[in-house]
Amino acid sequence: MIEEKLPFEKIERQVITKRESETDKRYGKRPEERTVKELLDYGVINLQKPEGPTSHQVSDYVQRILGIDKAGHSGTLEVIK
Amino acid sequence: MTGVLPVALGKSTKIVQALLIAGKEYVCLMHLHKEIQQSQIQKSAKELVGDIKQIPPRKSAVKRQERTRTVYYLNIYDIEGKDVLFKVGCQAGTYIRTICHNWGKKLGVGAHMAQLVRTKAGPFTDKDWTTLQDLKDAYEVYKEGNEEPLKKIILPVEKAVGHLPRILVLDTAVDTLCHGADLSTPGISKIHTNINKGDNVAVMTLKEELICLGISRMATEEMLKQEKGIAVTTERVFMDPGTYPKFVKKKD
Repeated sequence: MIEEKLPFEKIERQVITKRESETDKRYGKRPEERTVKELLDYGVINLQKPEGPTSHQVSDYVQRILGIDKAGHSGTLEVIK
Repeated sequence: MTGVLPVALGKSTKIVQALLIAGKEYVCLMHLHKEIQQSQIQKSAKELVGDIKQIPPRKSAVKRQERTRTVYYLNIYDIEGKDVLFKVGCQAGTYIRTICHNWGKKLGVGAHMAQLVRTKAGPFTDKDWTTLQDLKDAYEVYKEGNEEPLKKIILPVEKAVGHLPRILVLDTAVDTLCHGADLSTPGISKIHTNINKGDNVAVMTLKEELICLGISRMATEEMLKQEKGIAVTTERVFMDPGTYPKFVKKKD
């Protein structure tokens, strides 16, 4: 068996500080503090594409379910004929 | 075909660009056209790893021109008669259908792809995916006033760049980046190790919000040492200008 890791999963990274600094609480917010309303415009779903519809149709379903104007998928999973 | 399909919402849709070029993993069921000794299949599998040349299949969206792709790993899980189940990790844009076709040719019996499931797309895996039904249910619950289930399903856009090295910048550097400016070294607060010149990087605030994606112009060590110069050229901006205040450079 070959180790099942993509290149980025093999690189170990640490965080180094160049310049210590505080961030002002008044601006922005930590991603995990976003509300659903904010996530609907600035979020991503790790979706399991079902067999049958095209990738494009699936991202249309997502739009309709969530009542939003825009959704885009990454990388077409072709339909096997 | 089924599998991991990251879907980005609203103004974050262009984040899919970062995922298109990320590595992928698939589980594939290949059907051989004649039975052949298992040991031969096992042996030939080793030759499919590394740099391979492919011509995209007829029905693909790209030009049918030979190109090189890297297969990072390929492991056989099961062989039953003419059916071979395997898992493959590969560079973006690798055609598994073509791997099956060429593998069958190599074995001298012919083969085709019978089933395919994508199990990884960059940082997203089949371990924590969501079905359309789960999404529908969670949205109903949200409409009734409970946003917790939906909050577990819709991940912050930052999750989609989890495979990229990151650079965190000072509050004072954020707004100019939002306007599309490049990142210069004095704006850097924290930085990942092992960044090389030319890498795709995610530039973030100290609260770890995504500001923009860019290409590093220096390696980590140089970014730490230099007090002037461009560290990252900005490619795609995600954060709206005005999220952080505008800071005017003090004149000495």
